[in-house]
Amino acid sequence: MKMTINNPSGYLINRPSALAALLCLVLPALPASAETIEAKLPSGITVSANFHTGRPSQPAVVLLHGFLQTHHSQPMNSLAGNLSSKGFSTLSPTLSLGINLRNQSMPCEAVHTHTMAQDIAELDYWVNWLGNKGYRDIVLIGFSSMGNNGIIVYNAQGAHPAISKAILISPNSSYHDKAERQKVRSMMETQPNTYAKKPMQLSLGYCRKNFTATAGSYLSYAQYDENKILELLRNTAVPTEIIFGSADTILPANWVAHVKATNIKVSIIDKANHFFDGSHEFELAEEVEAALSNLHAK
Amino acid sequence: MTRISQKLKNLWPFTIKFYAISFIILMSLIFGLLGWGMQYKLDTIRNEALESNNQAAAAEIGYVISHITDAVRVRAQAIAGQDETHQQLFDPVYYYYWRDNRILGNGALPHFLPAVELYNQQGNALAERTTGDMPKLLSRQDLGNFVTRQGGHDFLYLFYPVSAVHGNTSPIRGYIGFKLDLLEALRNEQRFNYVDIDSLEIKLKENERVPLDQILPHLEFSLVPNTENMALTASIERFQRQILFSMLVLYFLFYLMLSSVLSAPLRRLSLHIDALRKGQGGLLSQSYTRSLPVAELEKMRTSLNDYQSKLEEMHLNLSEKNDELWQLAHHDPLTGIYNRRGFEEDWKHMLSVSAGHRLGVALLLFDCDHFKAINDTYGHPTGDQVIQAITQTLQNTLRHGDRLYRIGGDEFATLFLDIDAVLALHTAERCIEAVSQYDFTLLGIKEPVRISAGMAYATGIDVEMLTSLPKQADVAMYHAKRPGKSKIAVYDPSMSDNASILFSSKINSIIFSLMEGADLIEMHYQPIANLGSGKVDYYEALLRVHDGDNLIMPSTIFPIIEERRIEAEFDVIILGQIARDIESGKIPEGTGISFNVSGPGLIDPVVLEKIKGLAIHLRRYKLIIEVTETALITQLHLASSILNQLRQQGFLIALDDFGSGYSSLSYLANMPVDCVKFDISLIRQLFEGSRQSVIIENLAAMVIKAGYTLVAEGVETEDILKKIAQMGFTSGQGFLFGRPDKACREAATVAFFDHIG
Repeated sequence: MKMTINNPSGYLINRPSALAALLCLVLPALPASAETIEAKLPSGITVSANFHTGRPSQPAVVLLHGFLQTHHSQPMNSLAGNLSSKGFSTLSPTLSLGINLRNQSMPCEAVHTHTMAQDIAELDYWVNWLGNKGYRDIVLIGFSSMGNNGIIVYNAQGAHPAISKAILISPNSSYHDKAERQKVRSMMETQPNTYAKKPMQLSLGYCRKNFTATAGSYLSYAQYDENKILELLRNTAVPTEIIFGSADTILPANWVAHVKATNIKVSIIDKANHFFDGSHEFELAEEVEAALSNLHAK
Repeated sequence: MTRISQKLKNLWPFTIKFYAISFIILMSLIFGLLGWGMQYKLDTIRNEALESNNQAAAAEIGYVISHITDAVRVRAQAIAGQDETHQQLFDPVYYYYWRDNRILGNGALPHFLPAVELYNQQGNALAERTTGDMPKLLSRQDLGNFVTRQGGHDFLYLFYPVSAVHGNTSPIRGYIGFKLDLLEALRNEQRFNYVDIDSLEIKLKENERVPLDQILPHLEFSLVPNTENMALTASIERFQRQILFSMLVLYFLFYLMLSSVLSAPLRRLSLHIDALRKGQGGLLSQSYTRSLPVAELEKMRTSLNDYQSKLEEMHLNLSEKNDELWQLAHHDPLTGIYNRRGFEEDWKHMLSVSAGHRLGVALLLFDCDHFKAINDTYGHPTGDQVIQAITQTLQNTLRHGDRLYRIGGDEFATLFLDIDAVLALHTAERCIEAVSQYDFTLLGIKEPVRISAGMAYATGIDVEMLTSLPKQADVAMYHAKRPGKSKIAVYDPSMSDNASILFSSKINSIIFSLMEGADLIEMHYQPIANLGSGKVDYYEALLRVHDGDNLIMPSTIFPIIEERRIEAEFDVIILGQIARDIESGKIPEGTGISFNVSGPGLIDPVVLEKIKGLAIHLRRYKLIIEVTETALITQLHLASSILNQLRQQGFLIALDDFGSGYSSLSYLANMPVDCVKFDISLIRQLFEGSRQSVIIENLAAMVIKAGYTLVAEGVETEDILKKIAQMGFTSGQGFLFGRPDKACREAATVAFFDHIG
């Protein structure tokens, strides 16, 4: 089933009572089913998300994919399935990353013009979409750098009131090379017209020297280095839990310790890697479910 | 065709070599046909393979092109399905980056794809500067894949739709187009098995466009040499050459084998058999001993040798029989000397050897005098002994190496080669002398046995003379045997005048006409005068035979009659004529007639009957039967008996030609004769004055004294008349009294009788 919303904000915001009434009437009767939601953003780009309607008594979960991935990517895709099977309503959006109707992971080499702000706006859109659907408990679950950093920044900038909790799986900073970041900043400062739209080969996340991006795009992500993330975590107002795999080799050294130092609850799944492959996806689901069962604990 | 058939018939039966060559030619034709068929089949297979390879090559090119287009299509689909591609259609801000770096520069396309462009729904290129002169605006025609020639290169343009979502029914958002150098793309494919890719050309004019699915007819290419086919063809051709060489060698060996094993032995056998067949005087001294390599031929050879040995054995027997037969055919069984056949062969051989050479050749003929009389008197066994004795005597007398032939009952011959006439004559004389010296009384023969010889001589140069020798010798013999002649006579041409009559076919014809009853004879009568009165005492009837206007004398006729042994038949004819003459009154009464009767006639019943038939005339005529000594001696006892009977009837018997033969007095005493006629030779000898005249006179006196009447022949002169009258002869006969004439004339008047008168 595919549903297209041309002007969601206006339609839902103008008739919230009608929507709520409609949802109240319809949801209990709806069977558990998935649907792809497409929405055309004001920028003209159409985005999509996979939505699974759960029990109304349970919180809705927004699952945000990792760096340059889609909602089909693991472990978020499995986790969405597991949570759906437990009766949670799940919404798995694919960040457009500046691509109309993006449905595929984006190569490092593709021209990246998207920015953290655009990512947060799309997250906000989907949170609002759920809120508009009547969900009062919305949990944001992110994966790795892109999904978690977007949630962390989104929460820091003032989250939707329905946000009950944030569960961060394998959070990480996508930034590595401070000199490069500085160089790009300088280029932008000195010749903004030249480099604003000129793709450059940079390093970001796992894209080493091949992240083809405009300076603005690069800097929007690169500004959130480890310290910035840890700082945002320490200061977050949203109840947050963090889950790591003990065998995660992608994370920087001492990163888990630094995270733990923020006093945010950190769960370590033994022997699980960054992506919680294999049987660890179920342990991950159990851990998430556990976190969801205690929404407001911090 | 007919000529060929005729030639083949002339050649029939064919030789083994012919069959061998025919077989080889036939086999060559068969193998030639097989080879041609194989070559034809090979060419067919090669052509089929070429056609198949051409088809395979076309299919291969088609496959490679489809492979290229498939690869491009897959890439196009992959690109068309990428979010990035759609993003270009959505927002082509970074189109060049995407095209140059994400597609062309990223190794996303095969190397043969140098140009790619995206077009929007309207067919407008997203780029202002298209790669590789890709069109900036697509027409509907461009959307079909096509090949076109630009700047000497053949480019393939491929365009695929880019749909919004994966799936055929999704709306088209735009198009992705590729341009590639088709030949280069094909050449970069390393999968050609049939097409020689370096030879591939696309026959298009500049800017000519051909839809991709119609490009195959515009392709020209060569085939990759099919190494397997080439190797197979080379192998087959090598095999054919080897077969050909092998066949030639086999043919040669077959020919050699056939020649050596069959043809040569058969030819040798054939030559051997030919030699046997031709013979040339006898069988080959050696049989065919070399063994033959073929069992059947070897069997034939051994059979042939066996046959040959048997043939040789038969030949030997036959030769012995032949020799025996030759001996029998060429030798006289009684004497063991050569016979007439042997003489004739040797005569021919002599002619062939001597003709044309200066060699003297003498032919001697011997004849036993009065042999028939001896034979009849003493019997054939004694006669045979006489012949054997004569043979033995002659052989002993002849030179060593001289051949003696018995060519008749009592006739012998011998040939002297390279001899002069005198020596031949002396040899003949020695022979006659030797026989005369032989003591025939040992055989119980009282009378002397003599032989006469006739000799003819010639040299080889005179071939005509040489071939006439037998006739000449015969003539000479005839002369030698004539009464009163020497016992040996050498041929002289003058003899032929008389002797020729003997061999005259005309005389023979007349004699046979007489025998058939022709009235050709007449009797001439010569007076026999009484020496006391000078008057005719009686006439001697002498035979004359008409030959047209001529008369043939008895001396001409009688040798033939004697030779033919028809004396008795002729006596009958003469007696018949005499009887007719008497009956016709031709003979004066009171006279008489004497007539000759031959020896055989004397004992012949028909002749006797004729003589007795004359007895009715005895009352008017004196009839005197004249017989010779030889006639009497021949059948002495029988003749004597018959003559006695005739004497008793009144006939008188006269012994004719006394003195020309044996003139044996003992015989005379026993002969029943009334008178004796002295031969003219005796009368003539009276005047030779030697002892002979004395003996003759005494002989006459003795005969007279014995009681016989004497008649002298050859009274031609009065001197002779006087002499015989003085000697006591009773009668005389001769020209003095008259020649024989068909009329009985009186005796001529002779002065001698005047004083008597």
